[in-house]
Amino acid sequence: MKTLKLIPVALLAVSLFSCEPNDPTDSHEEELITTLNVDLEAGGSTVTLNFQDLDGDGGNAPIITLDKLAPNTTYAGSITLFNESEDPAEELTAEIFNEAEDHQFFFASTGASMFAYADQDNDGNPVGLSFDLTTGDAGMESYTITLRHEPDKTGTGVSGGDITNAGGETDIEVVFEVTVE
Amino acid sequence: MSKLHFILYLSFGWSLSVAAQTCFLTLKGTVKDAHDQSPMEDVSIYITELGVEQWTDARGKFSFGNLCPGTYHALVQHIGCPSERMLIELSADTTLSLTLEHHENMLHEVDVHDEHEHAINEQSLGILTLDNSIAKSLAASVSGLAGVSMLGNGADIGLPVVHGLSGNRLTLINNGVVHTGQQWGADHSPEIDLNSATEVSIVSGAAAMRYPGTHMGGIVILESSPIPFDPHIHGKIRSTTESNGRGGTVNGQFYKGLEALQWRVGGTLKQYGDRHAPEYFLNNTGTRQAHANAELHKQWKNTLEWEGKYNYFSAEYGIMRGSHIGNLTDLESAISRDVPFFTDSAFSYGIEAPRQWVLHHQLKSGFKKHMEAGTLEWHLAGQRDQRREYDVRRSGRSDIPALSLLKYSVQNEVLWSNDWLETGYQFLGRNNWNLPETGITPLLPNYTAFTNGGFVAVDHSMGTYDLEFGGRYDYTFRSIARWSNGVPQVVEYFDDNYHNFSFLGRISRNLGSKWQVLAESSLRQRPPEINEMYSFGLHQGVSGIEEGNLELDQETGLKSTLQLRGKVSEKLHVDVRAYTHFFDGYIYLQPQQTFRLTIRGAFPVFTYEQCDARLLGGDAVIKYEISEHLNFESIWGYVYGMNTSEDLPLNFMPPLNVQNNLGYEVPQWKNWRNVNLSVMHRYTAQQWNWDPSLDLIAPPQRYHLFDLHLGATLKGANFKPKFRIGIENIFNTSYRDYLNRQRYFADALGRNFTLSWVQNF
Repeated sequence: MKTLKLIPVALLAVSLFSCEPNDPTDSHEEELITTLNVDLEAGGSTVTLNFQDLDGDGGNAPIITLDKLAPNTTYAGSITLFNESEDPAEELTAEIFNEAEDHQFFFASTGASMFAYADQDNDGNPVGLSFDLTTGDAGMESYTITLRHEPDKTGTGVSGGDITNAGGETDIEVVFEVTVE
Repeated sequence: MSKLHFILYLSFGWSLSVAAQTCFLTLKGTVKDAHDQSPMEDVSIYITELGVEQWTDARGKFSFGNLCPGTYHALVQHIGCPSERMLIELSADTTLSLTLEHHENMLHEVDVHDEHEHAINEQSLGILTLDNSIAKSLAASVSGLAGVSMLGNGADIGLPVVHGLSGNRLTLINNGVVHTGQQWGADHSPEIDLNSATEVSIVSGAAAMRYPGTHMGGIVILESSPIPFDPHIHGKIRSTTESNGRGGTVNGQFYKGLEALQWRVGGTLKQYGDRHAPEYFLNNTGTRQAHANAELHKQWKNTLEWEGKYNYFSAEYGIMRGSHIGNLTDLESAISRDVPFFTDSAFSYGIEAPRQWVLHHQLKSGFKKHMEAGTLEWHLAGQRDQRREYDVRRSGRSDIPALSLLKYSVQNEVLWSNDWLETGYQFLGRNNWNLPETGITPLLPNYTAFTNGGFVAVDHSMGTYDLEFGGRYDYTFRSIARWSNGVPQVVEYFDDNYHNFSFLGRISRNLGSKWQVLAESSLRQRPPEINEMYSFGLHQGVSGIEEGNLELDQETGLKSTLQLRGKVSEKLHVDVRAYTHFFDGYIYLQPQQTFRLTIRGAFPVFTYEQCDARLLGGDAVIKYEISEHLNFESIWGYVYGMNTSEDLPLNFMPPLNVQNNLGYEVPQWKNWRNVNLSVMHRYTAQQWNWDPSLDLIAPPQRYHLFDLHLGATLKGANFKPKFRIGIENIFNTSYRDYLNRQRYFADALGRNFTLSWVQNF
């Protein structure tokens, strides 16, 4: 009955197993973009559009802060990105800039506002960290700002700001309901 | 010797008649069909050492004369049978009486009850089919069986679906051990090499009671046959080369069966590059795999045996680049494309992010003690499963896994069985850990889970009736640790425990010698899985945020099956089954009315919820021997799933599918033996029973596919290699499969030329 004697040994093998799960690590979302800040400068004064979601996907709702824009004005726009879940907050703009060939912002408006790229990557294609925004007449508009990772910048219309053929993954897609008055 | 029969080929028996001579010995015999004892004609008996061959005549007889005393290997081959090798110590005139398992694909006759016969509600793939599918995944191979489909992502990643059940509701048994990987994801292929097995069976009903795990009646069992007794090294080398993906698979198995100790070792290597849909490359869909298996078997005094088994599985899978998306807008724009994003006209063997990397070890030890009263078994097994998944990430992080899981598990079981009773105690322990290397809050928490269970099954025969009853109880205790949502993140701890009960009742009856009927019912319970209760994160498949639900309770299923199997005539065999499966607390992913705003746009929220559900299904196998050389087989399967709480369809149920195969076989043609030609037609209907609120696009159109295969064994040469050439998807049809996630983005595979070679030695 050698077999029977071995059974307690088998049951002991179970105790090799810790009864409690390991504590989770990795609470830091290294890649998380919590904050998109758009600075719009015209005639020496700056207005900002800001999207902030400190806990990332899900959890608490994001906070959107918007200044009003003036009609028929051309703004010099610039985008800065942060991961504010880190302490201190980490600025991610350089991460995008350093991989400019693999990133492109796209801008769309439901109203009369027009966007134009004001920067280029090393291949001469737009990035969108800097851009010009020309507002139209007063009214309410939605701006959609999208950041694509690994878009096809040579796709039809893509370098002109048309997102249709861009492909890639969306890293940011934020809608600002702006007031032009 | 007789008590050791389990290590010998059961299908062979021999008797000696003593009349000693020198080089004047004769070896003769008859070959009969194992099922009806009818003589088998055109069976080849080949003596390897002498290079001589005889064919059986119409009475199944063969005879060799003028043999010297000595040890010979005889190879017995017949079309439609796996070839068998036996060792003969010739010291006198010998008469052999051989029985062959003829037509493993034909239905097993109902009037035979030997140990080789399968339970009526079991279906299996034998070695001949497995030899032809060494390049396929486990799921793709078993999806050829009635009532079985495949849920997958691309060509290599797939989970079997048995009667509409997969993932957490299906358990895989490899070497008698519950396979523990990460089955919760539809894109997590089981970490099992099909080529280490010699038989794969599907059990879908009451018989599954004996097995622990979270299954609701669906079980896939992989087994390797006993190592034949033969003091020489034997084995086989198998290879398949395919044009689509420009790759191939090679597998070798070697064994030696000494009286004191038997061993077997084997290995598989597989590499493919980008697959091709009819009109474009599917970029980044290659795979690289390496697997190994080893086995030792020893017995003492004919009453105690021990086996040790080890399996190693490693694989890297590329995920089609164009199927990687960031948000709902990306998914919608990908769906609207004719040609996927990132399609490149250049072929590549490279595997970039998104990709998966898995490594799995399984080690098992098993004792069997044979006694007068029955058999006592003790099995102990351990597994280590590691999975890393890589996404396309910024700043060089694509080389850092986005998901990294390490899971250890142990299984310990003590079983007792005799002619009428089977009972046992089983323990399962699991420890799942997210390795701290991802820089991402994990989707799945860390946890430990322990299950203690016991079962009793009683089998009783009364005349033409066979009755089986059984019950099982499992107690599961789990501890969970995860990050909370919101700011600041803290670690949350949970404990839960479940008592699960299962019962079965089954009655089968032989109706004369031609028909067999079976009715069975089984009730099973499973605890909600960890991902269903505690997950939190982005779910790529539906591009939504997936939330576990702490309120979930057990899921209970009652499955009833009625099956009829038999012979309409000697040439027409049918096997028809209908089942109902009622669920109380069926766990499914339900989209919520709310959207969650993130920096990547608004995501729909999906939560696991429970409903009452009903699966109604049926499958059928029809086999018709049109003539001696021509046969036809048709396999049908369908399941209809409803959420009866809300009167809505259950999504991702397999649509109606049919496989028709017309085969032509001749024993000999010129220099070739066992020549077989087959035309396969596969039809998959469009799934019309689906809920639009759970899916973004309608299920794909129905499709018809045609395959052609020609196989033969080369005669004459000492080695007798077996070759098979084929064309899959002959007409290069563009199609998409409802159960494959890649359907949102791209067509399935186009035409594929295959060349296979099997060398037994």
